[in-house]
Amino acid sequence: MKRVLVILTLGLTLAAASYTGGFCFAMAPARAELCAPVPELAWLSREFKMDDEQVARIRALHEAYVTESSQRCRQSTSKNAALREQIAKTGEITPEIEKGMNEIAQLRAECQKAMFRHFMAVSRAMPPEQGRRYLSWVLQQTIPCQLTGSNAACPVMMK
Amino acid sequence: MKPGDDKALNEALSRWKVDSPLPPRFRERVWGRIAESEASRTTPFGSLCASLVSMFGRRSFAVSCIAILVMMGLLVGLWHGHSQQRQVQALLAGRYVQTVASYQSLP
Repeated sequence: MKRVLVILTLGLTLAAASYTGGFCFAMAPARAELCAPVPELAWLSREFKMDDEQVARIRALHEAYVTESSQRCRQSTSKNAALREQIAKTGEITPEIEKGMNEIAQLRAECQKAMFRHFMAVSRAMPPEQGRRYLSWVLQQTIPCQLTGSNAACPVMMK
Repeated sequence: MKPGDDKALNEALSRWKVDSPLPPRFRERVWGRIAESEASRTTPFGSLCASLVSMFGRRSFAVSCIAILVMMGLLVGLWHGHSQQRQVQALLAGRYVQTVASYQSLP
């Protein structure tokens, strides 16, 4: 009986070790991406099979876009706050409020234009086939699904 | 009266000798009956243990058992790692989309 226990203990210990080895091996790419300075860019470069030069170009494009985009977001947030305040104060749609609404809509349109321009630039910085794949994927993720006419194209945001 | 106190009986017993010969293969049959009665008293768990002990007694069986456990561990580890990897990929893809389309989340 002692021999059976020794063999089973040894087998289970080795099984646990091989499980750990297999898990670490399979998780290695994800771990590398999560440890990168910008994990989502590390993911992008792996997913769309880019070389170092392309990654550097896309990183520069991404950083420039994110800076510009966050400025626009701040503008939009402050305009929204001002609009809320005005509506609460007046209780009706005044010409000034209408002007504010138009400005916000225009800002959103600008944001969208800049976003699509960024997608085009990124896709051009990728290898041609990967660029086409990227563009198709990113448009599916960002254009509302009712416009693309397909339920499968609805963006799936991770919790 | 305690057993062994009767002197007369003790003497009679010590004088008593069995002259008739034992039946053929007497010893073998006695051991056989002992083994039979022990086997009938064993529980299913006991018999399982006994068969396990005898199986693990064979070197080839023990080695195969360890090899199967190691392979199973490796396969489960790889499968689990791949499913975690897919989750991380989906998470990073979602984060990328949120970063580039941040205006969409504005009120």
